[in-house]
Amino acid sequence: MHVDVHSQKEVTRMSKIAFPPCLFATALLIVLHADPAAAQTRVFVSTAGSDSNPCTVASPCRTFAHAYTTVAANGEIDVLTPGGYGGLTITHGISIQGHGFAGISVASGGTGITINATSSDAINLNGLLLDGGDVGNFGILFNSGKSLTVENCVARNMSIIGLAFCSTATTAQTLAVSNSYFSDNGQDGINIETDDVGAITASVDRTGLYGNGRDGLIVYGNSTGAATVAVTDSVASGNVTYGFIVQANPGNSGSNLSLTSSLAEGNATGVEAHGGSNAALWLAQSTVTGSSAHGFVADAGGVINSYGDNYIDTSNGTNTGSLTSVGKQ
Amino acid sequence: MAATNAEIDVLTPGGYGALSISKGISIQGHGFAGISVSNNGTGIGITAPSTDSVSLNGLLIDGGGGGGTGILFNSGKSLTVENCVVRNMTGNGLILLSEAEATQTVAVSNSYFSDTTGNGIEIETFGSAGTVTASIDRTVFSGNGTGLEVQASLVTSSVPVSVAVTDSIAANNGTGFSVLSNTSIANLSLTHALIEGNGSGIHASGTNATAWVAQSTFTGNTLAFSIDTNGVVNSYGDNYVTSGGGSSGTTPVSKQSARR
Repeated sequence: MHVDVHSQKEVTRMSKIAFPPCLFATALLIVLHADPAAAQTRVFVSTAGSDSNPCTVASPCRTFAHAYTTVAANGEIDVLTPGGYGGLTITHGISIQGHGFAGISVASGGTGITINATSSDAINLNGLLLDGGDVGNFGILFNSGKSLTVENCVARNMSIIGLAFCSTATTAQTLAVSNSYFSDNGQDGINIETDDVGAITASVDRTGLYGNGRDGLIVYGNSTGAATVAVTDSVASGNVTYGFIVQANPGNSGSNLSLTSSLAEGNATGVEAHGGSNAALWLAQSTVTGSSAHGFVADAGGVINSYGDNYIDTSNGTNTGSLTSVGKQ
Repeated sequence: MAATNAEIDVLTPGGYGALSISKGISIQGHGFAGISVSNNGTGIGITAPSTDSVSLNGLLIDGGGGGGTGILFNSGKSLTVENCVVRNMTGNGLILLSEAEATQTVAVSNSYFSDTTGNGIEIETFGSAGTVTASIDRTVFSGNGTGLEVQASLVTSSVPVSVAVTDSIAANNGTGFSVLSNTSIANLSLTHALIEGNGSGIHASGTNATAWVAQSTFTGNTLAFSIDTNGVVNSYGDNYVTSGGGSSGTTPVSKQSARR
């Protein structure tokens, strides 16, 4: 009886918009306000539920989109049974607890979870399985908000990007990703990009970035806002172009990617810092191996700082540029 | 009603309400046992005898921006927190206020403390006897006032407190890790941690407050180290400080060789 429900309006609109991803989504304004008088702080969804239910644990709803309309700002959507719950656009603080078994099948040209929240809103996503079936565009697309936490999630098989964190706001925004997997996406596993003056600070730990069509993880200073991203205990393997790359356009106020205790394996290029004088990669206790083209590339003004304790073996292709030695403290 | 030192096992995802614990117990929530904390309330309050161990596993404790405290440990022998999420509190995510005149231990593993106005975790000692030790591993503190605060009470006499953190992250907090004391010894050891995007990465304040830092990465903090009032940060010289004032104010210390 129950079919994974997506907003067809949303899908249609998004399918018309071309890359780059971080700019087109600003046009997307879907507002689903909860009624404060009726809002509950925790609501429930189940494969046995119905969107005509009140979303209580005894009478759960069927879709994330409907549950969201009944939950209070800063409340929680809790998943009761394994299954698919459809896409969602988020405009206020929320926690979604999917327990590792809450699926979202992203429709062709669509986005699993879109976040257009205010600068005071914290968003927490835990235990979601987002699959694009090679036709869905984005798993998670963050355009604005205070912070996004992604824990224990999988985003794979998108035609464009697994997690696109795009600061189109003028305020500072933060991202924390932990114990998650971004694989087999058409372009990037994770794209962290500043598109205005708002700065981004992001941490990524225990995360796998596998087999993406372009980059495992890209940090892109596309506007003036600074990007500071730190990755620990994570793996980028088998990505078609780059394992980890930090890139800055002229005028960007600083894009830094710190890799500690991480692995780049079997990518075309393992790690790269590219462009401007403000793109810097900081490499510590990390391994780069099996790169088909280049182990590391520092070019067009990009800098790779090495703490001298990395493992970059001869199985990689040639390297471009040089490593800049920096001291531990 | 469960027997002392027995187990409460959660069968299905859902919300199970707040709880006061006064005896040894294990709660196995499997990652899907929710507790919505009411405004200014407490999710789990623990006031157990000094012989009792409390284990919490797989709980989702959410304050919705109004709940006061996620987990409040006043007394008991030990508290273990594994695979839990505690977030969106107005006070503290997890707070140990040791007023018992006994030795107490805390172990936190693979858990998340985020978006809380006060501290993600606060370990604070009072009283005049006993000690408190805590280990924290694979735990993320993000978007809190302070990620982790270790304090030998600044306002009254207190017992020693020692907290060790490994493989953990403090990101985008007002202060990442804080160790405070002007009474008993307060030690905070950080190994292989990531401290990123905080106002202050590590704050050590007060005589007898010491942080020990090894193999840890500091980036994007306004200030990597904030040291005042005779506090000390000892560095093993193998940390990665990419920005935020460098290692200014830290004290070099040596690693110990396993064999000579």
